[in-house]
Amino acid sequence: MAEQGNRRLTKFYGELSSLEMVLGALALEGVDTEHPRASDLYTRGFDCQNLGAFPMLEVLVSVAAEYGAPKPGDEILDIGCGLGGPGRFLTDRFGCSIVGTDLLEKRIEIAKALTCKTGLDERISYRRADATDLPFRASAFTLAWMLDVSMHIRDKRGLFGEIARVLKPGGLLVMHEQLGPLPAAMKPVTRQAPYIAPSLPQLIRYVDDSGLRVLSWRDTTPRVLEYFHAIRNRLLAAVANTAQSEGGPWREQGQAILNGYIETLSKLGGRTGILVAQRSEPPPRRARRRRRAR
Amino acid sequence: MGLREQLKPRIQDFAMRFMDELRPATVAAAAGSVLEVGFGTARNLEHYGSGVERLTGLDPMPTQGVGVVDDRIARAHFPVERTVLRADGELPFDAGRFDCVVTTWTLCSIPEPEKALAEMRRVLKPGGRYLFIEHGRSSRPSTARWQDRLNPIWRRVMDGCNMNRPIDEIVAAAGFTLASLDRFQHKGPAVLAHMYRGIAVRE
Repeated sequence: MAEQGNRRLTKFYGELSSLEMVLGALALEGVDTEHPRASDLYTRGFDCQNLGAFPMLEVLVSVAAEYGAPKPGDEILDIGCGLGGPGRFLTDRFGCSIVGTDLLEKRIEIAKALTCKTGLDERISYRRADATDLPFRASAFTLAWMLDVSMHIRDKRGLFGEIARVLKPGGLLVMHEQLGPLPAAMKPVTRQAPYIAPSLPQLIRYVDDSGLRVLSWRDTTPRVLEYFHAIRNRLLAAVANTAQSEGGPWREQGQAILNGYIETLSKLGGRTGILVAQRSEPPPRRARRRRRAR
Repeated sequence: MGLREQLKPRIQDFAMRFMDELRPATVAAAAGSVLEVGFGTARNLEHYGSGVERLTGLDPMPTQGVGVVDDRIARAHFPVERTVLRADGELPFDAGRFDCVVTTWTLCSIPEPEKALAEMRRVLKPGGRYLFIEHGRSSRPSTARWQDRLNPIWRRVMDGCNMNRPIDEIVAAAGFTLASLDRFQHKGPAVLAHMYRGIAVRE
């Protein structure tokens, strides 16, 4: 089951990700593609595959800042790092170190290449990893950052259990997520990749039950909707400027996905938001042992 | 009015002053025509902003003639109407009448909170907001277990107050969309100090 889900994810996001596409877009903007600054990339959203791209990163940071901003010495885990844009943004803004993980080797390679070009490779490293089986020791990170990842993972207990394990006591999880139940309008999207989106109370219970405590939820649906409208407008403008033969099936599929999101979010189903949780103290392992002894 | 009816508002007023610092963050966001369910002794009134046009305060406890409450109402900068009524019956208001519904430490004591929330949702305009701060079920499993153990006694002693209700769940189950939710531990005994503050929207 998980294997099949992973295969679909690999196909979907694999088709979405290409280094040539990112560099090509940069070149069109007149940026030096050999030595771009990290901000040349993330402010334009070329390397941000999260819902809401760069403007959402700013919102995420401001919500997380209510519980303390990242410090230069902090080591941050970026789960589902994609092309690495959000991680480079954090390093660029706060001077912290990042370890990015992703299920797709291809995205890890692109993320690495971009990080090298931006000169941030001393502070950012990557590991290919399944989020439900993280290759890190317990209590390794002060912050875990996970954007639009958990909706693709069926084993929520495994996922949040792993995050709780690798976070230091008191450490924060900052995530962006889409909630279920997803309406039929999302079909063009959910056909492409596994979507297991719980309701907000369900999500809160999953997080709470794994040794983390949910501190806050902030709905971001209007912002994500705005983001998709902007992409659609850009796409329509591009279509108007090029011949019909270019783009082909991928453009059609992309448009169907965009329309699916826009219809879903305008009807206010499948809402999106930011969830902040904290690894509880005392460590959950001790609590578990006590329960078993009883 | 018997002695019990005389004393109850005064005791409650004294007990609820410990929550005063948490009131502004919830109440100040209210605007337009407001329904406050669990009006109590009007301790929220001074924290409402200038956007409030009128307020209806609902509470099963009569406070007519209680000096402090009458004073607070007289000082309010908008008209305040008191209605002595339980919240989980049918509310005597038309659907979509209010811009905002507010509860502060109220859902714990309503015998059927699901029914009350459904009524609150009905009387809200589409797009109207339900603002709340409530105490409820702790996010720490060990504390939640203690809440479950203590609740039967607590409820009997404290006039129907429940300490273990999962507020986020019952608000979402009533059909509201949670636009924001904060959970935190306030001062005081852990079983009573787990707070849920939020804004829920009626779509």
